[in-house]
Formats: sequence, C-alpha cells, structure tokens
Amino acid sequence: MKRIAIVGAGPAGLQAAIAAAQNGVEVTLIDGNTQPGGQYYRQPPANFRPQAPSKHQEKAAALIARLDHDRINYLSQTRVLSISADGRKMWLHRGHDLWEFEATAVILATGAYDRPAAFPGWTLPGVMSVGAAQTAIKGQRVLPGKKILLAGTGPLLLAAGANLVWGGAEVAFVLEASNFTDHITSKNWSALWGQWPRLREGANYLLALRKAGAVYRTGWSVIKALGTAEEGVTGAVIAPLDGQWQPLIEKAEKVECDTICIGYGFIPETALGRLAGAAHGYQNELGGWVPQRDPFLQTSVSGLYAVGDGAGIGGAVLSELEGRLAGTAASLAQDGEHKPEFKRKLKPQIKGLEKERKFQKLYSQLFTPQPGMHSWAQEDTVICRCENVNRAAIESAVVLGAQTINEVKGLTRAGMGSCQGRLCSHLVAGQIARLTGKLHADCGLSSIRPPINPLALADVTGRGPTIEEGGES
Amino acid sequence: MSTWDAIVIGAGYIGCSISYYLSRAGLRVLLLDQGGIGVGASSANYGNIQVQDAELEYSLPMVLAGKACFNTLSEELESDLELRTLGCLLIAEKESHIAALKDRAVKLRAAGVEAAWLNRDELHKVEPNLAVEQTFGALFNPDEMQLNPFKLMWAFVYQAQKQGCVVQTNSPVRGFILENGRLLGVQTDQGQQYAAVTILATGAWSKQLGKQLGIHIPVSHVHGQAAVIGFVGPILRNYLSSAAFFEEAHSDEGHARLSATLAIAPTAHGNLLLGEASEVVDHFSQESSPEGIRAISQVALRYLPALGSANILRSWGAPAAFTADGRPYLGPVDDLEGLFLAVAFKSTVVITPLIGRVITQLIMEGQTELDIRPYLLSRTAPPPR
Repeated sequence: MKRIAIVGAGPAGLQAAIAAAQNGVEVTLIDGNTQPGGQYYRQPPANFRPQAPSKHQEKAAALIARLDHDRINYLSQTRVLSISADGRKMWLHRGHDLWEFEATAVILATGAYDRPAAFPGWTLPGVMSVGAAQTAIKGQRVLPGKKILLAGTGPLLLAAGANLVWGGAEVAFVLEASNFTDHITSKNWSALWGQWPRLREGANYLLALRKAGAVYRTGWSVIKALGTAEEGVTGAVIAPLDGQWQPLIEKAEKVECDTICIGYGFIPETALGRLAGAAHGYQNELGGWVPQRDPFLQTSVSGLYAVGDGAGIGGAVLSELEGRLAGTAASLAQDGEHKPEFKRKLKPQIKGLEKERKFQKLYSQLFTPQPGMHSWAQEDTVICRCENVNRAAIESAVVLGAQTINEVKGLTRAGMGSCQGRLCSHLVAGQIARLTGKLHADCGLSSIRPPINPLALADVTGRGPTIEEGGES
Repeated sequence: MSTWDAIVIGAGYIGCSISYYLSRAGLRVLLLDQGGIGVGASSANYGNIQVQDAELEYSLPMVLAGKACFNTLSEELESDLELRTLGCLLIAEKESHIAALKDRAVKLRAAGVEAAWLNRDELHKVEPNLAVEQTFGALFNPDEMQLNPFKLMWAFVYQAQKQGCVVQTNSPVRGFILENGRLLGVQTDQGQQYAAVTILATGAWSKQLGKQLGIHIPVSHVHGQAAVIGFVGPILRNYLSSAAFFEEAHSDEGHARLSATLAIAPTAHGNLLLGEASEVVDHFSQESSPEGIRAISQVALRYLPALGSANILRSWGAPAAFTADGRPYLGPVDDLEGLFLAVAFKSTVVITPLIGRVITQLIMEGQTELDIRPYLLSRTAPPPR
C-alpha cells in the first residue's frame, strides 16, 4: 500500500494531504503543533475563539475541515526529528515516544522562519522576531509589549504592525529597511498587474497603522537596542540606510519603545531535506539555501518532495498551489517516476504556479537583504546566541583560515547549540563574506545532525504507537 | 603530475599530526582527505586524553609517552587547544570488575600513574550527582585531560601549511601507483601525485585502501553512536567510562548487536557528551538511530538520573577502527617499500603528537623513540588464501 508522509500542516502541507487523499493514497500528515494550520492559518485554542470569526479564520476552518478524510491520518504534536539518506525513513517523536516511520514518498512542507539581524542589544529581553509576535497574537491573543518598534523588510511588517494595533498595542515605528519603491522599474512593474487584492491588503494595513499614529519609514532600520538584561528594552537607535544597508550614523535617532520586533525576510527550513542528502543551491531571491526540484517539486532524492516556503520563500498562495501539485504528483508517481500521461494531467497546475512565481520574483527583488546589514554587529555583539559567540571570535576563526560556516563552527562553537545554526548561519556567512569578500553561496551550509530539534533525554522511552493506532506500517 | 617528499592520506588526528611533524622536518608534504579536516571518527570523538584505560602491556608505554607531549604542545602550536585537566572514573558496573580494577591500579601505579580505587562512599564524594548504588566503585585517575578536537587538528594543519604542507580536502584516493613492490604515489582527481613515502592514516577505511594496495590490513570497525546534551552546568566533574570494555574488548561477536556502554564526559562549555552505542557493521555511515539514542539515554539516566529533562542537541555516528589484538598498525610494511601505516589506534587523542613524531623519526632517521615492533603489520599472519 502506498503511503505518503507529509511533514507540516501549514498551507502547503494541508493542500498536499488533501490532494494525495483525493488521488487514492494513504496519507500521514505530521505536525508539531496542537492544531493544524501552520503559521499562516494559526488558530487560537477553541475557547479563545471570537464569536464572529474573520474571513481569514473562516477560510482556515474550511481548509482544515477537509482533513476529515478516511485516508488522512493526522498526527498532531508529533515532530519529525530525522530522515534517512533515502528520504523514506523518519524519526517521529511525540510525548515520551521516539520511533521510526517509513513511507513510500515524503513531502516536506516545513515552512520558514524569520531572518534575524545582529546589532548591539539584539539579545535583550523585549527583542523578538516578527514571527514570534505574530504567534503570540494569533495563537494566544497576547500582546508582546505596549510600545512597539517593528524593523525589517517585507510586507509582513505591515501585517504584523496592523495586528498589533488592532490588538491594542501602541506601534511607535515601522521601519522598512528597503527603499523598495526605488526598485520598481519599467521592467518589473507588470508583475504587480492583477495583484489588486494583495495591494489592497497592504494599503489597509498601512492605513490602520497611520490612523493609530505609527511612523512608517522606508530605508530605515534599528541599529541598536537600548536597555539592560534586567529591565529589558527601553529604546532603540534607528538610522537611515544606504542602498547596501550601511547605516548613515550621523542621521541616527534615539527613540523610546519597550519591544522591538525584527524580521528581515524569511529563511526556508531545510534541515530534513539536507539530512536526506537532497541537493541544495543558494538562491538569494528564494531566501538562501533551497532544495533543487524538478517540475513536480521532487528533490534530487527520488520520492522526496519539498513544497511551500520550506523549499523557497513564496508566501501562502504559492505554497498552497505547490502543495496540491506535489500531493497529486506523489500519488500518481510509480516507483518514483512521473509517467508522460501524468505530466499532461499536471500541466495546468504547473502553469498556475508560474504567474504566482513571477510576482514572487518581484517581491524578492524589492525586499532582498543587503550585505551592509552585517556591519551593524560590533566586535562584542553576539552572533550565535545559543553558544554566546561574538563577532570578534568569528573574526579570529576566519584569520586562522576558516572559510566556511562549518569551519567557523568547529573553531568557535557558533551553530552548535539548540538551533543548530538556524539563526546564526546566515549571520556567520555574512561575517565571513564581509571579511573575505566571498559570496554567501560560497560559505557553505551548516551541517545538521539528528535530532533536528532538541529532544529531552527522558522522552525517548516509548517505541511509538502500534499499527492499529496509526503507527508504523 | 606533482612530486612530493611525503603524501599523508587521512586528515584526522593522526594524519594532521604527521603532516605537521614531517613538514617541520623540512619535507614537502601533501595531506589528502576524501572529506575535510577531521570529519570522520576524529570529530565524533570526545577529545579526551585518557591514560588509565590503556591496554597495559603494549599500549601503556605509548600512552604515557604521548601524554608527555601535551605539556608543551599548546606553546609549540601557538594555539589555544582548550586543554584542561579532566579526571577519569572507570566505573565498576559488575562485582567482577572490582578485582580487575584493583589489579589494574597496582600495575598503573608501578608505571607511575596515580590511579586510586574508590568504594561507593568515596565515589559519592567525588561525584555527588552519580547514582553510586548503580556501581561497585570506580578506579580514579584525576590526572587526565581533555581538549577541543577541532582546535587540535586545525592547529596542526595551520602550522603544517605555514611550513609548506599542501592540504587537499574532498580529494579521495582513486588508485595507487605501484612498481616492482614499490609504492610511488597516488592517483587523485587532481592527477598523479608522486612521493618517496606515503603514509596511511586512514582509520577504519584502511582495510579498503589495503585492498587497492594488494596488502591485507586487518582493521575492522564498530559503528559507534554518541550524543551531546545542552548546557547542564557542573553536574559531572570527571569522565565516566565503563570498566567493562577492556575485559570485553571489541570483537565481532561481542558487538554484533547494538548495545550501549557507559561513556559520559563533561565538556569545557558545560555540555555533556553521552555515549556510546555501538555495533559491528561492514558499512560506513555517520547516522544515528532511535534505538541508539534510546540505548544511550538509558545508560545516561541510570548513572545520572537528574538528566531526565536535559536536551539532546545532536547525535552522530562514526566508524571506530579496531584490530583483533587491540594494537594499532604503526610502521613500514614488508614487501611494499614506500608505505607506512599509522592506523587503528585506541585512545587516539593521547598519542596524536607522539605518532607524528615517531613516523617522522622513522622516515628521517630510520629509528624511533618508541619500540614499534609490537605494532608492525608483519605481527599478524597473512590471511588464508
């Protein structure tokens, strides 16, 4: 019996599961959260839900309701902690159980996380990612602070800012690092054509922020967080940036706030694909390292597919399209092969992706982080916060001859902590690039080892659910 | 085509050390590795400089000579190796271990190692968080050490390069250039590399390379698994190692199935290294498994029950070489001029600088500070045809 495992129940994973089940295969949908939906469709607990749900919440509920299908086995609160080199066998973890689970094909829909920036004070209490602030609001209806400064790049800043305003916070500043309007040219503006719902959505957010008195600036960022470890954030130094994102220090301003939310775009979560040995390439416009994929979204490992933001940043709409395509393709594939008749069948779906990708390309051109952001860290600024490694230590390793993220890791411990380099790899590469003139792409990838997320020593006693309970096949 | 004085194959502990000492002696050295610097068993290692678990007859002299090298090594390499004192407790896990450990203590002291037997009460004073009721006491040597494996290998390579050594990583050996019972060099993706001498420092991979050379190097390997847990602070002061392993030395029978042996070391950074699950395999892999993790976790929690909520951050596997008699292969090879072996060491870290020196003495002077006769390949009978 063909069984497709899908990792992640966000927009891409949900659509993949539904499509695969419709095509007659058994689906195991695995997700670490208590409820499906991922970050985009994140749901508050049932007893927190408003009596009149928003349109977005209704859409989420309708999609999630389709998981109620005979052939979909949904494992919540279950983490995938490793995958074998053939991309078929995974370590699953739930509660006190750790077990091996085998599928005929695996679709990775693992999403993305915020790209941080390292600047003096970025590890103070009260500095968090934009995504973390969104999780607090969407998942728990909790405000992260009272007077908030958002800094970073991309439209999520506006969405998160508006959510904070609607939740009752004072949003003091929204600082968009990119002077993105400068990048709209005669060559790329046509990609905006037809994107009216998106533009309207952005305008609504901006309007809400303006009404609430938030200051919105483009070409500015936070370059220092003020405060102490005891008090947390009390303010920030903000400055205009040049085209390379070098701050113009003489024009810097000191402002007051108790919370700083930062998000310089997203980094695809690729740990599992890399562990499986899928070939990855560096593509700045897709968020950095992403798996190489065929038209059916299959990676270089036969039977292993990657979709959504985890395979290249593209947003929720593109993620859902990709999920449907890979769910269908994986169901129809025979021995890892996509027959010509299936190719014809899937052609419309593949075409549908193209328009969305065109917009995505423009989006990334407008909001691509620039190398100057790696000059914000000072010598004593922490780069790897898990292991407390500062910029000076990384510079010493580079002087000794380390040229890649992994070599710096071996010498400094940067990337050896709980996050296995998810947060600091990009920052370490930025420092190597700044010191040596190398490209990010040539600084390599941080090697990854299982478990890809921390695992408590006492939580491995059980061998997982039995077959009757939906366990190992 | 390039010509060198010496080619060193394998950039683990031993290969890095040999490259440093050979280049310091003025030789033009090429260091080759199929992967990178210390990416095989060397980086999977704890970095412990162990003494009291050495095999007493042949290995102890080598280990003691090796340890002495570390007194001046940081200065010599102009590098902070994160070298620190870390005591070792050989834990008696069975009643039968008591007599064996006490006997070992007498022999170690005769060799100048101040190993002391601790009963449970004394052990509790040394390690308050250890579940001493799970033990029958321990043999304690406070005078052992630990370093950062990466720092050691990189320091050797950095200094070797300053002395003119050329390092080619991601450069597997594709073949050997042999002529009339003489090894003339190796074939790599960069072309033919000729050298007067070639040194194998290839650990578990030696048997395979031996086949390409037409000689039998009887090195087997276990696939060992270990894990590191996040910062736990000073919960453990010494390296804990089972006393079982030297009485039940690696054998194809003994480790045919996955089993875990006590091997827990604190690191300088407040983490703990947990091991070791092992099984004899014939493939090479860096993978760990849920069963390996479970076995490691059970052993760790038996001895340090407070670790339940500590997080495993990473786990890994590596091939660890061993030989039937527990001795390494070190020195020239009969019938194949130009080849030297330096493979299958146990407690590799402690003898790392010594082996670099010994190989250099062998090549430069033909005689060494260490009697290498017990380690020659010729001690083992050729395989039956």
